[in-house]
Amino acid sequence: MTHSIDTVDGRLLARIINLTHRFGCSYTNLSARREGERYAATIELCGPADALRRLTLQLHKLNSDHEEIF
Amino acid sequence: MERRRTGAALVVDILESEGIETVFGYPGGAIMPLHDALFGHRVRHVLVRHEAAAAFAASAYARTTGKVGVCVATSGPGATNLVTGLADAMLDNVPIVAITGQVKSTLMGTDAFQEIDIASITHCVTKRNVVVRSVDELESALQRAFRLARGPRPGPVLVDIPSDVLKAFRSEDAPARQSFAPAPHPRASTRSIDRTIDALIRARRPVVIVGGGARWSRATVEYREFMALLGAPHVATLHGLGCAGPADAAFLGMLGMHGWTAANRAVAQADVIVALGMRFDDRVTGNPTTFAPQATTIVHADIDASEFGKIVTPHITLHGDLKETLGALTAALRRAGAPSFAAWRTQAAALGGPLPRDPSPNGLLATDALDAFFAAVPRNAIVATDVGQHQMWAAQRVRPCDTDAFITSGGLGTMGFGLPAAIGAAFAHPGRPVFAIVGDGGFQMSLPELATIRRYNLPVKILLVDNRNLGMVRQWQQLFYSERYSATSLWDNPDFCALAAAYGMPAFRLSEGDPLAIAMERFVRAPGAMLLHAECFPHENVFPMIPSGTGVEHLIEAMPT
Repeated sequence: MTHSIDTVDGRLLARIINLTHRFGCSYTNLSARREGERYAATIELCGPADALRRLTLQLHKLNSDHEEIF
Repeated sequence: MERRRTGAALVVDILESEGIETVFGYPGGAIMPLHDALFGHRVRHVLVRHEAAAAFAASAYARTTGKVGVCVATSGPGATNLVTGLADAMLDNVPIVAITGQVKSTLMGTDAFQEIDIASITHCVTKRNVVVRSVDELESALQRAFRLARGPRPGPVLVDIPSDVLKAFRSEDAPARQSFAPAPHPRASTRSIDRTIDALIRARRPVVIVGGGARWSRATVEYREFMALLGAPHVATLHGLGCAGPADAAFLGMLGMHGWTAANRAVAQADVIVALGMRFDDRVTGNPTTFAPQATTIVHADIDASEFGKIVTPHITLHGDLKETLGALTAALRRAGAPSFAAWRTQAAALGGPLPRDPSPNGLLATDALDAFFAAVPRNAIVATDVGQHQMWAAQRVRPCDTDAFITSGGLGTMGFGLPAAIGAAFAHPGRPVFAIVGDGGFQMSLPELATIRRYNLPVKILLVDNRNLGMVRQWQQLFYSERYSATSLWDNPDFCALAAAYGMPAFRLSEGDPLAIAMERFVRAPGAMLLHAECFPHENVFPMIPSGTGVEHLIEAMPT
């Protein structure tokens, strides 16, 4: 599963990685680059299907909270 | 307004503009500029005696007003002492803005005195946090923090401000302060509303479960209107208590591990479940694979789409603010014509009897003391509890007039919450009677706040349910750990009445044989603060109980013989 991030707060990646491991998943590839004020990143996630489903819900929530503040 | 403002003055400006009248905090080196700006200001700073209490008091302020609670602490240990309170707020969806001082920018990353990376530490116990690097970003960062804390789903946000940013002057050419509209919230679709009403009309045994979402949506009126029209049995989670009217006969009580038998059995027999603003916590569902086994339709209403299917997979989702959702449900039900569930209501109420009572106590039963307390307590009272057996006994018995009248740490289950929470509620509602129900364990985690009560002459009354044990853990040891009572005896408790006296608080003891009703009347009617030390039978347990991870079929109604 690929999760894309577009953010001004590069720390969001650390939160996503921690959350990924919390759900018993892991990541197989991570790429990030800074463009001006923003970071663009993609992270390849793997793990049990149900854990990935629940992780995805949390990542969507994290992204929407993030959009609220920045 | 004076053009040249320091960062600290800007913080206070923003607090005022956000409608904050009271902040709870504790000073220290890095946050000194902010305390200086608060000196003599209209925004009142309440000095607590430990930063954790600042977070809990701010939480209670928010829980009882719906406004954002604010706590303030210095860098390093001051900030880390807030962490439990932020985690507590995160799990209970409480809007808090925590403002922490940080070492000056040039020292960050040098292991300076009282330096800690509080932003990293609080990443997972806040919705977001931000380290403000420039005074010109300060106003915007704080405004966004308040906006995010408020919702759509409320929660804590931390703003970490280096001391040099607090001292710096805002630039002449800094951008003018913006205004931020409230975050938009989703609205449940008409189709989902209609499907829900259709399912309810076809239902034979529907049950509605209401949770803490109703509190944050301020949806009590809409909830009661909907339930009055629907006429189905309904139950509440710990945080949903107060949504149902105190005299509502269709309300079956709290659901879950220590909920009422009828409430749990009704959910188990329901063919349609409508879950409103609740998250199917493990203390409610037990074993999610056997939760509500007869339900052919589960409707889940929530402001947060990430809750849908997290634990229980719903058939219908209502993604929106609960107040609006309930208004739409009521209107649709009125149009469709409400069915009659009178027979099912009677049947559901008969699924369980009254709460059990320990048949052979050797001493005062805590449950008798709490029954007498709730019989005497004024209707407009706010009751805050700590965590443990007394919390569950209270939750089983309380019939609050609204969701702001019963506050407790539900998600995190934080001992030490109750007393500072009562303090926060007392500041938020100066005209209302405020009570803290605490156990002897949690009370000793919050004892320094007796000084806060004294300093501000708060009329907080404390009902101490003392069983000389960490009772809930002891209960589990008795039931599930072969009666190996490891580290749960508090046989050496201090003289609590003498402790209260040391803080200038009147106190009296309640023991076996004392007239309960008279004692409780004396307690609740007394002016000002008071401690009632109830010396209770040490081995009373909380029943009913559904053991963790199981279903209602394993419900224990009384101590196995």
